[in-house]
Amino acid sequence: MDESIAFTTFQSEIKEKAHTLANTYLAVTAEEIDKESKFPQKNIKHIGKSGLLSLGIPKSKGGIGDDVLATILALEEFATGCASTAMSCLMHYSTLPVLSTLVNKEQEKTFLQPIIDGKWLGSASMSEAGTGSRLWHMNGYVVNKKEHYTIQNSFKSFCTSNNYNNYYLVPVKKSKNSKPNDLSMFIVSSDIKDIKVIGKWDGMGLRGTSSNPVYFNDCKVPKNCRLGKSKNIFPLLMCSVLPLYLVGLSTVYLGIAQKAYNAALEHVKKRVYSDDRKSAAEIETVQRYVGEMRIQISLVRESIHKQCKLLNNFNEILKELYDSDLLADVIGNLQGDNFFLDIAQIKVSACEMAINVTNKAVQICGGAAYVRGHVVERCFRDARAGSIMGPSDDIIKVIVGKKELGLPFPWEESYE
Amino acid sequence: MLKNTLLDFQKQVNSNSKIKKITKNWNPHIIIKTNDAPKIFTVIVNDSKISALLETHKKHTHELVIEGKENILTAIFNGELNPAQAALDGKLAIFGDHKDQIKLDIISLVLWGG
Repeated sequence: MDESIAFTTFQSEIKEKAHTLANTYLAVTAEEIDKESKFPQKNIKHIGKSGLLSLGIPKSKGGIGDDVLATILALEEFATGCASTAMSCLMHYSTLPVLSTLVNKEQEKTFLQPIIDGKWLGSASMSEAGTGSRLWHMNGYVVNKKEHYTIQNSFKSFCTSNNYNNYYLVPVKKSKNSKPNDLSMFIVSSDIKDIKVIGKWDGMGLRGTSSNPVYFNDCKVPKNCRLGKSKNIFPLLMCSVLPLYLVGLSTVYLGIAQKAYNAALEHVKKRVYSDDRKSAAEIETVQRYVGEMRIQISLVRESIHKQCKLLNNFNEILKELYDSDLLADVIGNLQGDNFFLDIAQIKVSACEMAINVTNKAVQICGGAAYVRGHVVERCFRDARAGSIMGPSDDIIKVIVGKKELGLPFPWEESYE
Repeated sequence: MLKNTLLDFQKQVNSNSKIKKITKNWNPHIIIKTNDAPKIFTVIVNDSKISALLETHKKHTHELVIEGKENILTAIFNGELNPAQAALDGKLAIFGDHKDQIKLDIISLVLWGG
């Protein structure tokens, strides 16, 4: 068990690379992306060229590596540069554990290689409009036709990177009458004309993410786009994709809070009052706010890093179980385990922290940060989404509460 | 107490077909040492089963050493305590290859769940 708090040289190199990208490209265009609600296509290209779009694909399959902490370190750097870019990368990274695990040799060439080459961006397409944050319950289903599969009735809400991604990762019920968690998984090319992207994304924050709803109905998918055996899909979604998504989401909001904090610090140091020639930083109330923000940010970061190290160990376990064809048998009912609940709790802590820190940053910057276009104003809007992104903070709190009270989990109830 | 638990553990492991799959080509000596009593055991894993349980340290080039109080070790090998959690809580010291430690976690997961 690796309990070291030090980064490995690999993690440190990835962080450094992401830091350079964030400063050189992402931070420079963040304001424009927000103002024009423009997808950060050029940023994604730069990240692709650097090799960092393959973070999450193991080296044995040609990727840069599947170290969770390295991915998280890169995401925080991206988020301090441009929150929309970081969120699009997170939804791409969330597709990679399933893809890397489930692809066969032929699919590896077709689907993994373009990602490794930095040319493909994907979107995890999970939550459905009908069931919201309840990711364990899908309404969409697949019909197995002779020549192809047809995905029916799958209305995915708030899918990221629409019109700019190359593929969606889409879990749907194995058949119309299957249980909501008896799933098949598809990699669906975004070129397929049956995919309906609905409306234009015009969010309060994260304005460059192109996060529209997407409707997969009568959507014909080639036979080679089905990934793995059905029995492994739900365990992989809950035990591999969801934990990565949750620590990644926490990290994006950590980066947003860090950016607001940096900007607020810079502001209060430079803001000098004409009467006593003192800066706002010398006001005790400001010092207290800064201290609170620093403490909140540090605690969340430490929790995320600790969970990433545990996740790295857990992913090795998953891999061994998958290779031994025991994944579904052993992992099937582990999603209520304390380990996963600890990860889910970090999502709540991070998102509440980001709202709190960006709010304090506005407070100490005063009117300047209330004006449209100020970095802190943008971070304040960006930070608000985290709490309501699925699984919402409220759902997680209910799940944790049920566990503590010894009551059945929502996914156990929904099968009855 | 610990010896009987280890004997039960041996029976459980050897009768579990899932464990057989997981321990294929895994042949370490697992050395179990109590630090509150002078007890030491060697669990010999060989050919997808525990072939012997010895009340001595039988040296081998491939060893995984587990050290802790007798009641903690007993709780781990009868499934009451998760070894990864025990290690995190400082109740257990494990020395050896990282992959062997992961294998031990998997055996615990297969036998007793999370």
